[in-house]
Amino acid sequence: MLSPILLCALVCLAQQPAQTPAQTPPEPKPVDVHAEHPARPLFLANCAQCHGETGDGQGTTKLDRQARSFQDGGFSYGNTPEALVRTITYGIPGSPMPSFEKALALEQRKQLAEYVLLLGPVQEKTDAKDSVMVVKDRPLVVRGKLPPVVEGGPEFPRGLLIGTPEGLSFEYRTDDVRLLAVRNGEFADRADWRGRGGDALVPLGKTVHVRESGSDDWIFARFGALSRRQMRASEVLGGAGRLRYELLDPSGKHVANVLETPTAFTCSAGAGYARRFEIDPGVPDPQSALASHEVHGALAELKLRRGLASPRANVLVLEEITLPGVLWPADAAGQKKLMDSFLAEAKR
Amino acid sequence: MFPFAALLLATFQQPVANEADYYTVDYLQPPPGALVEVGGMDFLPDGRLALSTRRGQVWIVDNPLAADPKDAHFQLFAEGLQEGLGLNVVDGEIYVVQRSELSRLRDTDHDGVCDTIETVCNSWGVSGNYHEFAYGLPNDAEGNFYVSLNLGFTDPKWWHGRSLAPYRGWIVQISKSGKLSPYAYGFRSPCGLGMDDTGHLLLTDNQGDWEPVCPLYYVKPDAFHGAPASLEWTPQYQETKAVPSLTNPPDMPRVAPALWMPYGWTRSTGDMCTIPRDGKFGPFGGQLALAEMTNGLVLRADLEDVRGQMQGACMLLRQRIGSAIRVHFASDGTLFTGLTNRGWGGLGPSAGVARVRWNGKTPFEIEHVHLVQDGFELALSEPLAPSWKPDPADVIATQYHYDWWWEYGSPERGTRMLTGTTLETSADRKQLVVHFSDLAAGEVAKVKLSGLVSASGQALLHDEFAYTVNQLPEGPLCDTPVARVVPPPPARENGSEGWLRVCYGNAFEMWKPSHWKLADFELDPADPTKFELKDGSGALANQGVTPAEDYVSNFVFGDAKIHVECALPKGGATAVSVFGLYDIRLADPGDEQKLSLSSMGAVLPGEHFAGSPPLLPAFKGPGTWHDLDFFFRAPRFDASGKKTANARFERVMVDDVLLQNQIELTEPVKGARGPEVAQGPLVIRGGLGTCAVGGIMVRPLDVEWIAQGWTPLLAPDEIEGWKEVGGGTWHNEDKLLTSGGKAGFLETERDDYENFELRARCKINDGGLSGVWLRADAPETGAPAGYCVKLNASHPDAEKTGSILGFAPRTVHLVPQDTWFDLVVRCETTPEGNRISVRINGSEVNSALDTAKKFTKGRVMLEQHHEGSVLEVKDLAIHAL
Repeated sequence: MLSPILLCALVCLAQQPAQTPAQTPPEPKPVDVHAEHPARPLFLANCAQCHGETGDGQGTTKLDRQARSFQDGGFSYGNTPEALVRTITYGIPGSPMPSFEKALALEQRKQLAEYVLLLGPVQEKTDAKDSVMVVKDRPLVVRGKLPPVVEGGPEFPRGLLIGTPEGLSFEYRTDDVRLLAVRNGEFADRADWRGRGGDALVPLGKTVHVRESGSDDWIFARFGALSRRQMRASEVLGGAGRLRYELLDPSGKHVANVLETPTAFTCSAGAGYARRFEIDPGVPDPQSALASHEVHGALAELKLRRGLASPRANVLVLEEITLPGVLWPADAAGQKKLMDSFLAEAKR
Repeated sequence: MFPFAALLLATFQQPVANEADYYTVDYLQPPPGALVEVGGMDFLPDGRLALSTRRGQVWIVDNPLAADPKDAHFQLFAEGLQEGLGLNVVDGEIYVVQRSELSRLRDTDHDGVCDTIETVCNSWGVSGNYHEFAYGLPNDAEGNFYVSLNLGFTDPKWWHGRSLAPYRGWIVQISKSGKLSPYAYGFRSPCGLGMDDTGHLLLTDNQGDWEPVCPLYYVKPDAFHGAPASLEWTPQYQETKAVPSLTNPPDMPRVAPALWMPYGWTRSTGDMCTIPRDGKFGPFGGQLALAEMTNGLVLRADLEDVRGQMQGACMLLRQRIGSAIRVHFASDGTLFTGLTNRGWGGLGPSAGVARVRWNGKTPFEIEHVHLVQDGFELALSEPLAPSWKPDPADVIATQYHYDWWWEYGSPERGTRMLTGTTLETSADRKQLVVHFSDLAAGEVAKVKLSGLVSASGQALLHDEFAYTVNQLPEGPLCDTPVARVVPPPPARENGSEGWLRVCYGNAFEMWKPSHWKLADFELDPADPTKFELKDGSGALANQGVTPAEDYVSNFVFGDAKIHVECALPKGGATAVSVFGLYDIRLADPGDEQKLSLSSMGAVLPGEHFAGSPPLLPAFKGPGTWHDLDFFFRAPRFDASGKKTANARFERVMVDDVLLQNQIELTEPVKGARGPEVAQGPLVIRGGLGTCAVGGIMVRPLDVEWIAQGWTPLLAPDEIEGWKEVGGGTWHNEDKLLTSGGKAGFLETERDDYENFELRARCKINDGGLSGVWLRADAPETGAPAGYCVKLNASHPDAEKTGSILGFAPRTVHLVPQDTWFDLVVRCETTPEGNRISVRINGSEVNSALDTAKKFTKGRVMLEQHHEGSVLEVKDLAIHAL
């Protein structure tokens, strides 16, 4: 192998201080709302209440953080029309931006994306980076070292990401097949394709949910004291990315096989994700259901956990649906309406 | 030594042979934009070629043997793997070894794309170090796979390979059911793991620490192959918790490699494949072809068994291919060569697949080298020309050996010309025997033959071989290895760099006032539970201090490496407490054999935190000094102050025996007061019993020296912007400033530095004395003005490095002479006065307040105090506050 001397030299070279050119602020320009554009009425009806009539982010709805200003031209997930259509379609879990998949037809969403881009500055073409992995029409599973989920936390040398076409990515630590975080947006940058390799993957999405340890105890505690979950396979079948793993008791003996399928989930209440567990053998429990909500400021995390009917005897099927952050109405009636509509759609 | 030189010489006398006349090379054509950095190759049963790459892709190539490479089509089968440095097709299934798992790849819905990646095994150790590659992927007749695991390389001592997780530096065996068993050890960067066609497991390692050049091993199970870091995971080291030395050779037998391959031919050897015995690749059936990345070529190894030791000759086979890391013969004799060199370097092309083919014309080569007691029998591929006469002057032969040491690689040592050369040819002129009078075992023999011509008028295509003579065929067995034990060279840098010696020379200055005593001690012969204290400065003891007091430092640190020496009387006890919150107990366990939280080296519990007993007993007896060394990682907090990561003790050792590893400290020790913090003092507990401590050193870790916001004060090669004053001479070259001459100063031309931080790496020599002057000026006559931070290790002046002249002396010897240290000085006007503070190696060690505000601004100056004093300075920079 090449001597590590060269790596040191390369690193030293890389540490030259960057020269930042002097920048002058852009000149203010008059706002053109493109009133003749066919999507203008759609925008006023669906978007303006949060994003403002001119797309300046100053809408009338009370939000705990300002809505995106389209005039600035920067977007959460890139300024390509595809990214905007996806955001309009699936929403941004963990934020007040809802999903319009049911409310608007695809053609309407595409028109809105085009219109919203017109409200901003003229775009430069950004080069796609060679190492960025993009999820297209089928889910993608990538394995690599995971960086800390929260700052100051540990890296995980064995990890994987499942990316969905809806723009969600599920981050798992594979040593014990534990879901660590859910992200939304672009997928991943393979930083380990640079140099000698060995760097952590860079998940590109915005974190919409960090899972606490023990949050899956409701699934696995019923199997008694478990030593661990042993990774067995990742699959992309039937349009879904999923994981197969084995439950082992403390002596390493087989307890059950698990098939876990994480997917995007959207409803009128908001955007989030679902996880389905098929556990074999397991006692089916189709009657159980538990809904919960946790309020944090102006947002609430909604969760539904339930048993489903099993395709076969002796297979336990469980489902967890999470909306990490929806706008929580101020009044009790509005709250009930929201929960009812969430549960109705989740249970369908 | 490239044969090109020989070829150049040969042009004046002989026909020249050209490899391209016998072996053609072409390249498969991946799709545009696809970077196929090959890590593994094998053929599917239907003849398609499967490739795995360093970017975690698996490609399948249709029609790989097509005459026109454009007709070999690539299809992406899988992506998203974490590297893929070995691939094997077994029973029609594709297996790939990724960095962290051995996987089987399947296309269960038969759409041509992999949909299922099964984890066959993911239980070998990975610490996350960037260099932890996993290579493969041979399998044996029982269906077991073999994977070799690279060591890790860390900062700052990147030259020492380390085994940071289980089985790094080992070959592991993985059964069909995925069970992992350790197989063999003593490897460094074992890139080329393969098998010959008789089922022998073979491995090439790469030159570096403990590897003089690249070796080729016949792997011996359960045996040590030469690189010591991996010894950590052997049962013997695990039981004794010994840590393999990075610099001292372990006293144990090593497997001798079949080949030590000359540095000029190979620096980064990849894997190997047996050359077809049916002659489809020319005359070398049954020998090995080996991939070489740096020189971009394929070598040949011709091996034989000499009294139970595999050894033999290596020679060049085909050069100018590209950065070859993997070789695999197809059924028609085509040699497929997988290429990559990203991050490693090598002759291009740096990616893709080359196909090397023999065109059917037999080259004139030394086909086979067979060792005899006093020389070599060479079987030639063609008979020698009748006119060719053997002449000893045509033979240049040397023998040499290597050093087996921690330095990166070894030159050839003890090179001697072999003498008494005689030659004889066989009757059919296809055999040439070379005799020497002094051929020895325990050395490599390199033999070069000039002037050989075949009957058909060809010159030798490759005229040199290197034969590793582990053993001769007769006589007493040689027990001297070719890579020999030598006294270890000195450590690469002074071991004191980065440390602060916080009791040296003045045991109290860096600590809060207390009643601990500085003394020499012995055990009281009348009562071994007590020390007898005498005048001296060998230790700090708390005996007789009532009420009991902790010894608390007045400097703080975050992450650090810590060294404390400790001696205890019978029944004595103390604890080393980081921040006063996390305690490691040092105590005489008495008669108690069982390891518990009362034992030497225990991590003490909190309210809920269980603590951790040590892994082994470590108390050597009352009155005996013990060395405690450990790494501490401070807790982490987010911007709102919420803790995001726990503090940790990593690698707690007493006398080099590992007692604790990776202990997460979920809360402070029971009875500790105060919240958890990111930085804090070092505390020696005085209330647990009687103890004596000394030799305390702290090395702050992960101290960043970022470039942004700092302005270098010195150009790399000149002293522009500075002026010499007085008799000192200042030499600045290649970013190193060195002082000399008589007393004087080097002062900035600018004289308006006011509020700033100044940093530099400094070194002061034995007997030298210097200072960094701030807000200063040096008039032609009279004393210099300004604030001065002194730099002094061993000059008689009592004020040592870190002293602030006239305000706050530091008589403690924080850093020794001739040792680089990091210095940061802060100079700031505050309402209360001018504040000067000094940080050394990342920790603040001194601070002073000039309430008279004597100096408001001025130059920065470096002082040369007297002739013989030498100050060295690197990376001098300033940043305004």
